[in-house]
Amino acid sequence: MTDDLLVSRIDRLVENLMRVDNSLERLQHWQRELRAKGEITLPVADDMWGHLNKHVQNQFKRQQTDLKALRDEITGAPEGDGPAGPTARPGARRRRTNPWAAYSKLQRDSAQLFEECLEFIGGLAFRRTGLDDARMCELADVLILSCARESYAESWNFLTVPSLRDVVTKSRARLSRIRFPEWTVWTLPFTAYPLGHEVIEEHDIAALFRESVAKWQRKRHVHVLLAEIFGAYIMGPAYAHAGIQLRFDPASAYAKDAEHPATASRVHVVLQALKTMEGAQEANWAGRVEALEHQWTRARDEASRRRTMPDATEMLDELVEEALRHFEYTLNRPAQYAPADWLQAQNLVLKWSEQAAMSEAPDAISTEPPTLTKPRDVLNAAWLLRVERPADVPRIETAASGMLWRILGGKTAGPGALVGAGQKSQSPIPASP
Amino acid sequence: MATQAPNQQAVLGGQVQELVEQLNHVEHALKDERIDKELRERVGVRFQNLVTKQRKDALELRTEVANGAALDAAWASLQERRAECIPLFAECLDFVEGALARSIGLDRGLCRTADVLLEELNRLTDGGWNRFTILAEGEFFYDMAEIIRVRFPEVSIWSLPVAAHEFGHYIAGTFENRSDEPLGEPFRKASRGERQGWAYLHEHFADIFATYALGPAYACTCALLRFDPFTAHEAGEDHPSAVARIRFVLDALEKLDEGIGVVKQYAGVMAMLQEAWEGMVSSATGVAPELDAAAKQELSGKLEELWPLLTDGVPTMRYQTWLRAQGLAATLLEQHGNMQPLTAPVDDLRDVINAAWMARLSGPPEAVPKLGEWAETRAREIVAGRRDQGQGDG
Repeated sequence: MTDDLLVSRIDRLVENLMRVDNSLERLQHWQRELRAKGEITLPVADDMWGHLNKHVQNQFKRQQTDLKALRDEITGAPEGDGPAGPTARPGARRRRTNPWAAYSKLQRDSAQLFEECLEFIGGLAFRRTGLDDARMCELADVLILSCARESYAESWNFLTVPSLRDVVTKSRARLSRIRFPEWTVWTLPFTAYPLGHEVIEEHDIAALFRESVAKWQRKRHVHVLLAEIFGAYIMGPAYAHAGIQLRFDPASAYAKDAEHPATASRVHVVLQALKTMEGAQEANWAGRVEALEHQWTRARDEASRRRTMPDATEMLDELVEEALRHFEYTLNRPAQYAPADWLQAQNLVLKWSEQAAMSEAPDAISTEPPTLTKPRDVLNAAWLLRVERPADVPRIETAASGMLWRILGGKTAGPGALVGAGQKSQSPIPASP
Repeated sequence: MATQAPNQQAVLGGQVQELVEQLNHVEHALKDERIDKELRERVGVRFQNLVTKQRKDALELRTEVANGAALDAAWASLQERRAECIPLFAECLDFVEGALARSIGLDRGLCRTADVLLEELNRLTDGGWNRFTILAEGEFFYDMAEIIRVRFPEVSIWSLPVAAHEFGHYIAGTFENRSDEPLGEPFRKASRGERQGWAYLHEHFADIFATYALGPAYACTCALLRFDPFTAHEAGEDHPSAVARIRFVLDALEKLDEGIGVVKQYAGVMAMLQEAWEGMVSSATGVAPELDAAAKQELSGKLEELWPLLTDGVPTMRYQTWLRAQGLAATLLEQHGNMQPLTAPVDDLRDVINAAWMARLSGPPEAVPKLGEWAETRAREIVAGRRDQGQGDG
């Protein structure tokens, strides 16, 4: 009876794996249909599906193979026999002392995978709602891809999904989690953060400077801090603007847990990275960073009574120094947000500023990108102009979004040109079969 | 270009404004026409009220900041506002994505079946629940929007009884929240003690609620399908150990048998479940699923405390057609034995689930897929009939 029950549970888990696999397949088919109808011009890239096939569906296959091996072991079927299915992996066929323990582990592994697949499916379906009429998720996808190409010459496609889950959680499906519901042009600089995690994981960066990392009690904290440094390195001051003005909470600046270092430490490494990068030689850059630091320090001191940093400043600075040195050696030259980029951003601000001052028309600020303007320049320029003209936030947002679409979307000029801002596309999500 | 720092009031005001805009964004999204209209209407007012309240608070804070409120208190207030919005945003996101997953058919229609089952339980308990189920990474009930989650990808008839457990959490909440309701006293008493005691009491209540409503089917799902025997002795922060929960459910099943007649109708299925569960846990952990005397006594006390909540509070919900389900199970197994298609007629969802489980428990393992298919087909027909009936009534 017990064996029958275990076999029945194994069969159920195999069924669940197949069900999820089928769901993903159907979703891919649906995406193709939408693309054929011209309803999505920036579909989830083939590469993304390829990645999903490699990491998720292969994981399914491994799980199925292990489940089959376990099943055969319990039922006493000779190797390769039994219900149709892949042959057991070499070495997988060993007599286990406790098959329930083996099942339990496989079940837990599968549950994690199911969770992520549900998030992936939900994220994709989500793009068909009015919640993402501005198509920020798609914009974030292409922005990350462009950063990945510039920094590592890697065509890493991420799928940006709205989430309240901790963005630190490692995603096998390469999901980039944008905190729900705060996706706007202003939070786009954060897209560098999940990319940072991917780079750190893929290249095992923390292992490269073991000595300084060894001083840290929690390795997870180092990963988070490195991803923050990476964010500042790639995005420049826009990253600090977005963090300090929108995200980091000064009232809980000193709180930390097992997964997250204190916000105060995160802000510190971001600002320290910006102070150390080449751009800091520019007076304007340095002044901007100083202003941000002043702003953060005052807000933190007003909101929180504690005054001592939870992590030693020397340790944080050492981490920044090592990380930047490493990025400089291993990343492509255009990865760093450089003084030339900063100049480009400032020129754009001057142009926008003039246009904004001359007319109050909603579309007075141009969306036509000057030659050689990169998406990161647009984000920096938008933040600079926001500080200069706080009352003009909606117009700046529209202009920046339009310009990003022109740069990243190729011929696609974004939601405004495609279906009209706020207008819904016509194809419904396919009904259940 | 000047690089002056924006003043602190402006920064704080900007962050408050950001929160207001996020709430506006969510409000707009919840009205999106691509989300199933029926589902939208069921939760629309609740969400609207929650968003309106949070926005009102945020706007008040914005005014206070503009009028020169003390910055330390204002930052603390913003932190509080944000913390309160997180569960609201989470619930909205779950709703939007869950509704879309339903429309894509990821749930294979199970959510609709679960809705019908819970609507029936709601009718029998006069529970005032007018929500629905969506897919999520695990089953749970959250009282903010009262939407019940069913676990993806376990969208099969065998898992359906867990939805009744989640509905039990909803009913416990209604008992607890009405101060004039004596039935809520055990929960209110527990809430004055340790949080874990209160959480365990709710969990135990939801378990016996599902048993009372669905009979043996709930015990079958828990013992044979859902609870992990390998971790059966481990208790969680909010959940008692699986060993304790199965004991509690079986005790409740025994109690369900009391006062019906001399013949103990559940004795047979209980013995089968007991044996199966013991075998699984012993094989997996090397330790039998036994509780010590103190734990048994504690559980027994809890059952005595909670049982009247069912018999006095929701007596009409009691599952009473086990004999019919047994008869159906026998028919199904006979048809299976004769290699005939499974066609046993039935018009009650609870009987479908119980008959399928009973046949699965006493039949050969190879019958399981066909039994599942029969149960799902019958469930779909019942759901379709209910929908037609609803439209007819309307």
